[in-house]
Amino acid sequence: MNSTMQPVGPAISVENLHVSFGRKNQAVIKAVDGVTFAMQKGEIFGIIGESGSGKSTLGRAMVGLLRPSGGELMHGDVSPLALPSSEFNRHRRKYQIIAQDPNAAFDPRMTMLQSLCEPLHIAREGRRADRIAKAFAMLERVALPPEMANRYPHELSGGQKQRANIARALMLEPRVLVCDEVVAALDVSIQADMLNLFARLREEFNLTYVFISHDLRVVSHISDRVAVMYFGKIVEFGPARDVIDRPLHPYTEALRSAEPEVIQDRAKARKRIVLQGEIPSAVNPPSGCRFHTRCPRARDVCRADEPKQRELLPGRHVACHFAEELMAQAEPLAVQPSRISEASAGL
Amino acid sequence: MIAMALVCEPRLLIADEPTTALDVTIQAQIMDLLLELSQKTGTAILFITHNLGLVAQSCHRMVTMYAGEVVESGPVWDVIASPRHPYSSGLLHSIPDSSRPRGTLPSIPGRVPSLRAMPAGCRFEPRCSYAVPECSATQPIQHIADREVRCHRFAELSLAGAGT
Ligand SMILES: Nc1ncnc2c1ncn2[C@@H]1O[C@H](COP(=O)(O)OP(=O)(O)O)[C@@H](O)[C@H]1O
Ligand code: SF4
Ligand code: SF4
Ligand SMILES: [Mg+2]
Repeated sequence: MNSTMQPVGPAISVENLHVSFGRKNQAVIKAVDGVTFAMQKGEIFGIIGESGSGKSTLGRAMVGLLRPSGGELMHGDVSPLALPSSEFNRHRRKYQIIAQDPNAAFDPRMTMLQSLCEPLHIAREGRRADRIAKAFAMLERVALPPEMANRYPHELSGGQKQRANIARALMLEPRVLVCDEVVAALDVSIQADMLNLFARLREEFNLTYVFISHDLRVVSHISDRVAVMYFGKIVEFGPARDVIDRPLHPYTEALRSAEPEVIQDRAKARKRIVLQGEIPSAVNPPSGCRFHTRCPRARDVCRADEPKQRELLPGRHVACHFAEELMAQAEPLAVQPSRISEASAGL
Repeated sequence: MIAMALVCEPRLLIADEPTTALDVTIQAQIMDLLLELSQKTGTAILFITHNLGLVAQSCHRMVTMYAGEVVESGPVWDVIASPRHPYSSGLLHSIPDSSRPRGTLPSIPGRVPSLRAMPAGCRFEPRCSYAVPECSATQPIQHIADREVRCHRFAELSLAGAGT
């Protein structure tokens, strides 16, 4: 846990949260299917999982952008969905999302200054001169030079655009920022700058983050705790580094093993688990444990019964029938060396 | 798309960021496919990416490019463990890793120069923390056994690689 974390209760908590998509006469997609956890104020809470596992839907539901089909959402001690709509809109400004594609966030015909001022303009907050002053202040906080204010989106690099996107979210002085794959498209060095920026802004603005990414390295670097999602459910969660370094769920284990390694000793020691296929059709979830169609450790019981989430070690929650077994094993599952490891063995 | 590229058993396959933005699981499947092809048919693969982990895991040799020039090349693990060009080192050093303390990640200051404002000497000079006055001279590529580097200071610098 980070030393700056304030011991003052949850920023957001969800209980048995469900979010479904689907109109009349259409199959229902349960994108988030019974999720329970609480994130503390000041915490960076990571969410990982393959695409389609429900990360973005969960993030959007957490800030109230999507209405859950069931379960409970609390922002501190406020129940946002119970607020009257005018009050809800005011409340919602303190819970912002930054998405992967900064191009979608900016109107190509607007200058950065106009884009930055827009959220305050819509919220009818402050006078024009104050909004402009604030926009320049926010540009400075994200380390963009003031001349960027008069630029159009196409005149900025990918990294600059993502910085401007953050500046825009900060204009409303949010308490919570949901960052959805915000560093996915960036080069490593720019990515490092962005991660440093996020860490600094958390201190400066007292922010709480939800950090969604399919990059385990990024999540384990920035997050205090991490939740691993598969098919609408959290299959494992706990302190970020513990989860990534010693997974207790076969899905986390497989994600970890598919992550390319840059340290030679670790690459050599690595046993790769190549998961076949992709997440099955969202309309027809597998019976029992949803991961059983791809899980290298699956047995008969996995097809029949859904595993319960249990706290295996302090703070480490896992939903797998054989999590205790996995924990007891000193070595991860021995898998046939993959073609890649054979190919690189001769290097 | 990859299957299409493979039907004619090419001698060379140029894979330009073939897995960028894909999940690690799908990425592993695609890399397996490409490497299997290369082993079975002898197809050479030129793999273009900014994912250094993938390079480490799948390639024999690597080339680091900066601002339109090759700045370093060599056997993959040699370059990754002990880069000789400050730019390669900067990239490798900025990868987050769970073995590294949390806190600030090292990164390379500044950005790639535009074509109009290309430095006359070493193109990396404005961003290089090892720059000295001699760096403003044109840097030829130097050959050292099976490696190449475009930096006159390569012998005296001891640069950090991945995981350090
Ligand atoms: N607006 C929507 N309408 C219908 N289905 C959706 C919508 N948004 C997401 N889904 C479906 O919900 C599931 C989870 O999607 P998403 O939350 O985007 O996952 P992730 O962010 O992990 O990739 C997927 O099956 C996706 O197709
Ligand atoms: S419950 Fe069974 S199928 Fe599910 S993750 Fe555990 S071992 Fe695999
Ligand atoms: S030549 Fe000089 S500026 Fe260029 S990489 Fe080497 S030390 Fe740095
Ligand atoms: Mg998403």
